[in-house]
Amino acid sequence: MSDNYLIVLTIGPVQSYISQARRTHDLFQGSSILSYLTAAGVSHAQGAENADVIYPIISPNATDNIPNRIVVRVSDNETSAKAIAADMEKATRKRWKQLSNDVRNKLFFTWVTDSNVQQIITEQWKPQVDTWLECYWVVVPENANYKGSVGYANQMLGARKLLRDFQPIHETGRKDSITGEQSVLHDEQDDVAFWHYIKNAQRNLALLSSSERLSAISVIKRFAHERNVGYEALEIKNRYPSTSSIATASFKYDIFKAILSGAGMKSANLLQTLKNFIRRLLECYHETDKRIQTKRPINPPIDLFFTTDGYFNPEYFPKISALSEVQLSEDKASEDEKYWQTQFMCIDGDYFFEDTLITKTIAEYMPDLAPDPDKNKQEYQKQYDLRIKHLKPKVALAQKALKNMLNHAAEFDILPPQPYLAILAMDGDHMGKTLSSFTDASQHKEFSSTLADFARGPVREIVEDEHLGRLVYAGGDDVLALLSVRHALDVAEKLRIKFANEVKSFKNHKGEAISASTGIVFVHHTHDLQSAIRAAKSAEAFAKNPGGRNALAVKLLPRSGEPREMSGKWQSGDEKIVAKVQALQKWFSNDVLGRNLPQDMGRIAYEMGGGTVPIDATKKEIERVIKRRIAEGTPDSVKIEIVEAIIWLVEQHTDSLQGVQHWVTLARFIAQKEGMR
Amino acid sequence: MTWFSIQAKDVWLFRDGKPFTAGEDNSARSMFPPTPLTVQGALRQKISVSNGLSFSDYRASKNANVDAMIGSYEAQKTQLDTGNFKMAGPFLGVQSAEDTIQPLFPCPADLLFHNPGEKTQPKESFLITKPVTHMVSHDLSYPTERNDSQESLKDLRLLQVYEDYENLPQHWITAKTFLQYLDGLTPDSKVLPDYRNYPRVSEYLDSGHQILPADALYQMENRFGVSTDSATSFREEGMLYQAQFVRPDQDVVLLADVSGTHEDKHVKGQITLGGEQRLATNESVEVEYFPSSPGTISGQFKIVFLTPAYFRKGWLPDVNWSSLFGGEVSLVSAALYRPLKIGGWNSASGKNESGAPRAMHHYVAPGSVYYFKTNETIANPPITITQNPDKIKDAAQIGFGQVSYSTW
Repeated sequence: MSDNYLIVLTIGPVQSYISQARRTHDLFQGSSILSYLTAAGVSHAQGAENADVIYPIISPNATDNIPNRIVVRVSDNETSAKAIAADMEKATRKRWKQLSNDVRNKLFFTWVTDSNVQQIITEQWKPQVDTWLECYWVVVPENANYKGSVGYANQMLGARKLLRDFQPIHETGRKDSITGEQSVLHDEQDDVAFWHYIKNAQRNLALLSSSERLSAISVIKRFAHERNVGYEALEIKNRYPSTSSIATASFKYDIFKAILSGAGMKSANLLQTLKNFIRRLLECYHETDKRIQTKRPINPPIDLFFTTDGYFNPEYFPKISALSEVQLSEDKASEDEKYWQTQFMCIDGDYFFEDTLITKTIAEYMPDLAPDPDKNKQEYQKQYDLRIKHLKPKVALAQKALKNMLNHAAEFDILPPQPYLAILAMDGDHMGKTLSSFTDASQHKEFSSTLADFARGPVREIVEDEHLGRLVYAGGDDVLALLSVRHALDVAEKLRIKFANEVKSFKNHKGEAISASTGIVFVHHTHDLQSAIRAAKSAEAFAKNPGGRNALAVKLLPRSGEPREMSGKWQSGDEKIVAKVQALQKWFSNDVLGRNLPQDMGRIAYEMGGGTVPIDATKKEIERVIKRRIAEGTPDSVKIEIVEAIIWLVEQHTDSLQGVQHWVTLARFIAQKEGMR
Repeated sequence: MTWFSIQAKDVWLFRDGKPFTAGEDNSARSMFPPTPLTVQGALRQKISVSNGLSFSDYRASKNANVDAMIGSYEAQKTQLDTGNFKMAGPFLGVQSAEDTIQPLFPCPADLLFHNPGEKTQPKESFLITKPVTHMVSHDLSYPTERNDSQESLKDLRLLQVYEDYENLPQHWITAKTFLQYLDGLTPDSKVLPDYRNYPRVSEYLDSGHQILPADALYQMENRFGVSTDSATSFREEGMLYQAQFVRPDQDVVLLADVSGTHEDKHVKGQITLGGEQRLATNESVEVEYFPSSPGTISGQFKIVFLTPAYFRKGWLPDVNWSSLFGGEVSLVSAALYRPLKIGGWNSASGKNESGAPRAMHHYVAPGSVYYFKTNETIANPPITITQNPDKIKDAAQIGFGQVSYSTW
C-alpha cells in the first residue's frame, strides 16, 4: 500500500455567491468570506500530523485572497488521510456556523430584541445556513509518479463535482433581494414592516436600502464586517467604493490634481465651487421644517455615507490619496484643506450625475420619519410629502452647484464625470494542467508560493496603488477587479506581463511559457451588478475559447446601442493589441480620427467580410476609408501610423472583420469617456 | 394523450424568484423553458375559458364538469390538484422545414464533449462516461456528522472523467440523437459549429447538426421601462426598471403531452403564458422521435431526467429507490447539473385569495443522470420518478420527473 495520499478539497458555491451582489460591498465581502472559510481548512491541514499543504502556500494566520482549492499530502495510511480531509471539511463548516451564529446573536439580535421574534428568526435562519456551504474532497494514493498522482487527484475531484449532490430547501414567501433564492427573514407579521424596522435599527443608513429584504445568507454577507460581530479578518479597513464611485474616480482624481496644482485663481475658483457643491449637498440632509420628526437625529458634521456616529468614511483610492498626501506634506495644508478633501472623498459617485442626484437618492440616506407607516399612515405620508417638498429646491440648488463646478473643471480640460466602469477578470491559462504537471511536490509548492506572492503583492499594487481601481479578489492567478474606464486596458496589460514574469521559471504542461487570459466588461454604473460580473467572467472565457488563450477579450455593454464583444491575442511579434487600441484612442480624443470610422469599418466588414473578397483588396479599401477619416493637416508620419495600426488589427482578425470594427469602436468609446489622460 | 405545440406570438417572461418592483428591486431575470407549473396553469386556464368560465366563474365553482376536468378552485387552496388533467412536459420542440416537430432535450450530464479550448480537432468529439470500476474515497462516502444517515452512499462511485472533456449544460440535443445516445451511441458531430451562421434553427439541424446551444434556441432581451404615476401619467423619478424577456427562435416551440376528460379543442387556440400574460398559440401536433419506455429493466441501467424532479432529501428521495421503481435497485452513481430552484405562484392562496408565491424547492435539473444496478428484471418501469413537494398533490401528473432509460 502507498505511504502517501493526496487530498484535494474545494468549497463553494464560489462564482454564484460572489456575483450575487446588489452593491460592490456584497461583491467584496462575498469573496472575503469564502477566503476566510477556506483558510479554516488550510489552517487545520497545516496543524495536522503527517500532513503537508502543497497548495496554497500561505502563512498560518492568513485569511484573505486564498484560492478555494487545497492540495495536501498525507504521509500516513488512507484512513488517516480521509480523517484529515473530513476534519478540514469540519473546520470549514464550523467556521461558517460560528460566523453565522455571531452575526445573528451579536448583531442581528441587538436589533431584534423580542425573544419570541428571535426564536422565529432562528427557525428561518438555521436551514438556510445549514444548506448553503458546499464542500467536496477526494483522497487518492500517491505513487512514485507524482505528476500522474496529482493529475489523477484533480480528475477525481472533477468527477466528484460532476456528482453535484444538493440539500433540500423550503423557502416560502418573499425572496431575498440579493439572491432571489432564500426567503427573507421576517417576524410573524409583514416582512416589509420588519425590514423597515431593521433599516432604522442598524447603524448605517447607507448599508441597507429601504427596498432591501434579506435572508440569513445575505445578512451575513452584508453585515459580517460590523465590529460587534468581532471578526477582524472581515472588517472593512477601507470603504468600498460604489460602482458610480469607481466610474467617477478618474473625475475625482482630475479635480484633485487641478486644485492641488496651484494654478492661481483657476484652482482657487474650482476649489470654491467644489466647496459650494459640498455645502449644498449637505444642506439637502438638514430637516428645516420642525413638523418633520425623525426616528433618529442626524449628528453634524455628517458625511455622505451616513452613519449614526457621523464620522467621516472616505472612499479609498490610494492613487488619489497619494496625490493629496504629497501635496499636503509639501504645502503644509491647513485643517480646512484637509477637511474639504476628506468630504470630497466621502461623496458617492451618484452625486455627480444629474440623473442620480435626485430627491429619491437623498431621501434614501435620511433617517426614517417618526410616525409608524403602518399605524399612522396619514401622518407618515404628510411628513414624507413635507420632506420631499423641502428637498426639491435644495436638490435643485445642489444640481446647480454641480453644474457650476463642472464648468470650472472644464477650464482644466476636465471632462464631465462619465458613467461607465470596467470589470476585469483574469485567469492563468491551463492552470489545472500546469498544477498537475510537476514531477515532485517541492516544485509544486514552489509554484504555489509564487502564485501566492503574485496575489499578495503585485496585483494589489498594480490595481490599487498605480491605477484607479479596487481589487475584489486575487487568488493566485485568478483576479477580479473593478476599474476606472481610463485605466482598464493599462491594468490588463500590466497584470498579464507581471504574471508572466513572476512565473517565468516554470513551464506549463506543454513545456511552454505560462500565460494568462483576461476578460474586461465596460458597463454603465447602474447596470445590474450580478449580470455585469457574469459578463466579465464570460469575456474571460471568451478570451480562452474561441480567443485561443494568452488573449484579451472585451465586452462593451453600452446603455443604449448594440453590445459588442471582441477578442485578440495580447501580442503578435513585438506589436501589442492594447498599445494599438490606446493609440487609436489617442487619435480619436485628439480629433485626428473622425468619429464615424467605426461605422465605416462596419460597412466594410458587412460588404467584404466572410472571405468573399481577397484580403489584399479589403486592406486597400480600409486604407482608403481611413485616409478619408483622418483630419486635414495631420502629418504623413501619423497617417502612416494610423493605417498601420488598423491594418495590423485586420491581420489579427482575417476570419472576422467585425472584430476590427469592435476594437475601433472600443477605442472611440474610451476616448469619448475619458479623453486622453 | 395529445401533443400540443405552444408557439410564442410575443416575447415571454418567466421570472425567477427574485423580487421585482420598479424603483426597488428593479431588475427581473427570466428562466427558460418555463416549469411544468407555469404551463399546466396556462393550459388549465385555457380549458376553463374555452368552457365559458371566466376566472371569477371558476372561483365560484359554477361548472362541476370543469372542476372535474382541471380541479376545483376550492381544492387549490390546500394543494395543487389538477383533477383529471394530466400533462407531460413542457419540452422544447423544433419544427423542421417539412413541418415535422421533434423534441429537444437538455444534453445528458454524462455526455462529455471534447473542449480543449483551442482550435484543434479532437479524435473523438463525444464520450458517454460511466461509473469507475474501483472505489475512490470522497466526502460523500465518508461517514460524517452531515451524511451519517446516508449509509447507502458509502459505496457510491464517481464517474470516469477525461482530460479536456466536459459536459454541456445549457445545450440541447435533438430527440433523434437522444435516442441514439440511449442506445449507447454518441453524436456524429466533431465540432459545435457557430449557430449564428444559420439564419434559422431548422436550417442548422437540416445541415446535420444535433447539439444546440441555448443561445441558438432563444434569446434573452432586456427591456427598460419607467413607472408612471397613475394619477398624472407622468414618469416617476427613480422608477426605472429592466425586465429580461425571452424570444424563442421562430422554429422553436414548447411541447406538452396532455390528457384528461376535457376535449382537445378546448386546449387549442390562443393562450396567455407566464408573466404579463404574454400571447401564444396552442395547436395539436404530431411529434417525432419521442423516447418510449422500455418494457423491462435489468442489470446496470440509468435514468436520464427529461423534466425537473423533486426529491425530499434534495438529490435523493427520502424513501428507498426500490419503492420508486417497483423492484429492488441500488444507486451506483450520478451525474448532476446544478439544481433548479422552482417556486411558482398559487392564485388560490394569500391574503384575500389574491395569490401568493409557492414555496421554492430544489429540483433535480433535466439532463441529470442516475446510475443503478438491479439483480431483478423489473417490468414496466415508471416513466416518471419524482416525489411531491408540499402543496402539490401529484407532481408527476403535471409533468415533473419524466425519465428515459438506458443501460451502462
